Amino acid sequence: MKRVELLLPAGNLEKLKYAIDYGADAVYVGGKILSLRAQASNFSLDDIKEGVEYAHNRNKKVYVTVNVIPRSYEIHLVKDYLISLDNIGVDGIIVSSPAIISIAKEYTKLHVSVSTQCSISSSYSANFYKNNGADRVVLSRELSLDEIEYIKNVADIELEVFIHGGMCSAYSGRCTLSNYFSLRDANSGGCAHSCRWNYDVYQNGSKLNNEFFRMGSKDLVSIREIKRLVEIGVDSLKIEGRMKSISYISTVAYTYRKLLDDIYNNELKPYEYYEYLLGDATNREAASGFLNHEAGKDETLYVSSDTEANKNFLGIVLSYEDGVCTLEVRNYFENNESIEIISPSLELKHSRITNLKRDGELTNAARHALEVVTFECDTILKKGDLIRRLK
Amino acid sequence: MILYEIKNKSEMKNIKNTGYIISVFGVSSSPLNISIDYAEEIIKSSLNPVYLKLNLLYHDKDYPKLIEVLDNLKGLKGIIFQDLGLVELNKNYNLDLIYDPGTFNTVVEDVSYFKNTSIESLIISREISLSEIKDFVSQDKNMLYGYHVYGKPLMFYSLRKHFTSFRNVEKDFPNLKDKYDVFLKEETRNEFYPTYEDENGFFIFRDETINVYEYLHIFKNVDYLILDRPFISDKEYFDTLDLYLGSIDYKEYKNKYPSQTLGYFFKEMGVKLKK
Repeated sequence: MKRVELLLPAGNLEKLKYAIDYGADAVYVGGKILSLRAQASNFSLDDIKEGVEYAHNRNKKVYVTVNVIPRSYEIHLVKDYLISLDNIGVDGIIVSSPAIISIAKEYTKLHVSVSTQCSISSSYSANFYKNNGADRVVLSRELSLDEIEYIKNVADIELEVFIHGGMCSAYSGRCTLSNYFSLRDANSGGCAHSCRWNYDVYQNGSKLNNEFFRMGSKDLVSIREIKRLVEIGVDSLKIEGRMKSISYISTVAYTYRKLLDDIYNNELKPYEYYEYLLGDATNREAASGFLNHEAGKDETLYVSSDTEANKNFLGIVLSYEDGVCTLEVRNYFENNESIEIISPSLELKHSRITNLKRDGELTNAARHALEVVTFECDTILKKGDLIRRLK
Repeated sequence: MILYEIKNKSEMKNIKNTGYIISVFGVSSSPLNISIDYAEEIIKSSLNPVYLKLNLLYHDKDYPKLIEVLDNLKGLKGIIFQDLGLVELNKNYNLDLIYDPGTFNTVVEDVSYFKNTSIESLIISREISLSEIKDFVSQDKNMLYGYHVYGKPLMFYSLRKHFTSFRNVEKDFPNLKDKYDVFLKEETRNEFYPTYEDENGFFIFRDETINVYEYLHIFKNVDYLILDRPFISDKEYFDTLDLYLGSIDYKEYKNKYPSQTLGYFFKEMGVKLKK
């Protein structure tokens, strides 16, 4: 069975390392310029270089998003930037702009993926890009599994498919609500998520809705669709979320890594197992988008756009010695709580917190994010392991 | 050339240096859609070039209908489109290709890419400023250009049928499919955005009408001036056509339609950067 690339996002160097350690085959990052997700902690060229070295030493890849629709005041930056990325050893770039594809092809040897911002929805569109400089297309998130299979069979180009994370309510790149309402250019990374705002619907001067009308999309989760995508033979499975936390990146990478490896090894467990592994890493409501049928009520946040913070991620292991774990805290927990340990090299393990201490003194609870505590744990832990509350 | 949208034969004025845009059921999304048979009639009887608006993103399942329409519309001059898959399809038709992807085509460097394709013309983004447009059109031309000089811009295109889905949330919410008299209002603004749902998805337009006539001199190097018609009254639309044809005085027109805007011509767009 063909091995498909598991592609994780990384908002900074630390997240890049976690993504790779927890199972990504490749990561995508944004530089300081020409990248969407303007609010993500983007990478300097030095950071990208270090990230590439870290990835290549582990036989993994790094793609850089250069996916803005550029404006005339920034287009002059593109050529030198792409040449720098090529010289650093970046494996490829993800682009939306035809101008940037042209420059990449003329001056670099970078692998070029055409972004989902271009809403590539057919084999015809995929073939256009194949014939005009692209090495890979990131398919529109509005496609079903059957449509993806058809494109794979007909179009002779690498296919990348989004499998997890946030989705636009509109076709990506075909929304200017943010531009109009907030003067924030969605195609330059400034999206104000205006589709999640509150609207009323009027006809002939009468308001037709009782509750507010909203159009935001539920997040995408596709645990149950991965096997089919592997069988179809797509080339890359992509996770959204360059602005997400370390716990999110690690947990999602860990879950899909386990799922893929179990598929390859013919050891697939019930899907509930992988959904449990994923836990509440996705803290917004989620669905399978368009993969199984046209997205409707169950794939849309019509009623509430509120998100609840994930409070079950307790912290990151800093060290483990003689049965004592030193932990950097993320959320409140108490002594004697039951926990789960997520470790790149282990199956999910359960344990219990005992002898919780702050500054060497016994305490009944870890209360503050980023404080450092110790506790005794009978499971051998490693730096970088994640601890979450056992529900 | 001025390209304007028509919905019947009586609107063809056969004036020199104008062309007609038609929208056809099954392949276009517009309140102005006409049947494929009537589109054939229009093309046969027209003395001026006729262009078909193909303003959707097409999936493979949509291509048989596209092929049927293009096979039937003999004499069609070209297509105005946003899905680059149609460039592949057009290898069988040899129509003029006017690429109109909405928010894209923001820098003249895009021309370097498209000049190697069979695309004849690029429609410049309406989301860039006047100075950026000047930059774009003042460079050496390797392609034809177009610009939407008038109309209510589309600002949201989704495949999701939001009105239909919302009927599963509120049981007494009416069926609004194919209704073109519906508006969305954002809770904090006293503005009403024309919105419709059809078989192709869900579309939201700006409430204001953009008209850049007073800056027409900037567009002397632009080959296609497009007048958008959705959600404009017939009277205002044809007054606007007369304005662009030089048949009526701008001052008189402006008095009649005082609330039109210049869109993003003088607005500085940004992103909210993390501090």
